[in-house]
Amino acid sequence: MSHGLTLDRFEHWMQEVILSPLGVEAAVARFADEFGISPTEFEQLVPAGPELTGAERLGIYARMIGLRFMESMDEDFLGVIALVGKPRFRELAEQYLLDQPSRAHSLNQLGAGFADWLANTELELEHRELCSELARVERAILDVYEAPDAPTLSVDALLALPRDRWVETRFTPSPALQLFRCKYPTNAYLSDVFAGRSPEVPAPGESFLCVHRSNWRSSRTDLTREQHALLTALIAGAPLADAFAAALAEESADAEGLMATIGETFEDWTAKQFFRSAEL
Amino acid sequence: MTNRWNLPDLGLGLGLRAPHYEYVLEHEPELDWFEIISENFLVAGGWPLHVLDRVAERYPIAMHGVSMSIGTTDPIDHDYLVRLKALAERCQAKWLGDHICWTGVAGKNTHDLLPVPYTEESLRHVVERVRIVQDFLERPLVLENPSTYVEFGHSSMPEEQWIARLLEEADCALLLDVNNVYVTAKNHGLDMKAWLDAIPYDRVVQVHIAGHTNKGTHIIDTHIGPIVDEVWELYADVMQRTGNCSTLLEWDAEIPAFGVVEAELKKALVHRVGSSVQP
Repeated sequence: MSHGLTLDRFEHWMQEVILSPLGVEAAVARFADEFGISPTEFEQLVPAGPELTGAERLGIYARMIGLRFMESMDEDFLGVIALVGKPRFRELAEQYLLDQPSRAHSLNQLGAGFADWLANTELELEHRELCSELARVERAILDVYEAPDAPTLSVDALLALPRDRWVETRFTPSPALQLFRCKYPTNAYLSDVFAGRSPEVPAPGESFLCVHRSNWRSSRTDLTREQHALLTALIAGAPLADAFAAALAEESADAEGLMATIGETFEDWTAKQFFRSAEL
Repeated sequence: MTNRWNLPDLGLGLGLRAPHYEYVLEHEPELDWFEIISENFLVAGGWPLHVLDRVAERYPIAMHGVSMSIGTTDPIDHDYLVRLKALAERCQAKWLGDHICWTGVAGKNTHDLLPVPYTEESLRHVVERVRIVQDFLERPLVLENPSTYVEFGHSSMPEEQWIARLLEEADCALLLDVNNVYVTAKNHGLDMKAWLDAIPYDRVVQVHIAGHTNKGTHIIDTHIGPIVDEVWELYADVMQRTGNCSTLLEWDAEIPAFGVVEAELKKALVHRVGSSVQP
């Protein structure tokens, strides 16, 4: 057996065995025919050591990989864990990683597809929509943290824009900014979780959110429906006048409220580094 | 003895880890150099890269990766090498390297350092890949001996002999992790002195020291806690053989305050050749 086992074949076999949810011994039996390595031949290929059997030795890798994956997923998705509970989260994460094994160089990317997977998995999943929304926002928190750097528009530069030409201004957003239109009060739920509280499962209710980077840290800012529409239009390249129009076209738009606070709002957004530039 | 590339003895360094970023920027501790995990900084932007830029202005940097997968039978990932090379230029890395291992196959990444069987076939395979990578990076690759928990029945030579041949035949450098020598030798009942005797020391450009976790039946390379006496003894032996060498302490689990890690590192001073520091 050993003489016919190429390095390529060996690596494929070992990877199947250590990534298998069956455990090493069962996985050796499971892949025996496919790779031509019977349980008896396994004992020659992976001999016992001073203290451990071959399966126990190989099992160290299987266990460490599983622990590393779960620690990484645990750290990245505290909100999802709070919603579904740790045991169910682990089941979901294990199945996700079986369906979408890591192909990235960094462990930081492990959960990159988790939100979409939660939205689409055929597994039974209570609160699926909220679960997926939480995962999507939690992933954005990580993504904006490592998003490309860019110059930022200063409040002074904002205030120096000629007032009579504000409506023509086009704001270029920071690359570290993502907008969310949620079907649940997702940010409120996450804020409770991050503060160490145990929130109840919220009732559906539309909410709007911006995940962004301010002074190198990931932050979250709640938006009104109109603000979300306005920012969405600005990000799409619209001048401020058109962005206002988009905001006011929202159902039950509060035109007066938006106009009354717009100067203050733009100062706040600029201070939070939402924009890289403003051009006439 | 200097290494054959005349890469400098940087002295005593630590891994640049996220919990210490702010401390390092604020206090600029008296430390000789920092090592980074390359993949932690292969990002588009943000705080980690900002920290690296500032640290690199003040300290020499060495790059040490975990995902090159030099032993895999998958094709070489040139996109990864391009990014690695750009990062090395950005932080003016003194050298860069990875581990003697494979991390996955068929495009998957297990994010673990998996051992290769020590065969003529694997040696030829890794030698060829190291040469290709070195040509691209235009610098010697500094590869680390792994901690291993398993041996393979079809290996045809001891690890140290395979590594010594790799170093010579691929013309690459060794990051000699003395804790890994200890862990591997204990796990497999090997002779540590024989392991060290096989290594060509003109190819050793860096040494790692670290803590580990003894599980009774086996030892795991956890990079946790203080270094045990036996590993310090191995370190002292390697300092004699190299005539001192850039030394880095790894502490990656339950990372304590910077001062605690720094104090553990400073224990290395007494073991370096020509040291006036008393135990």
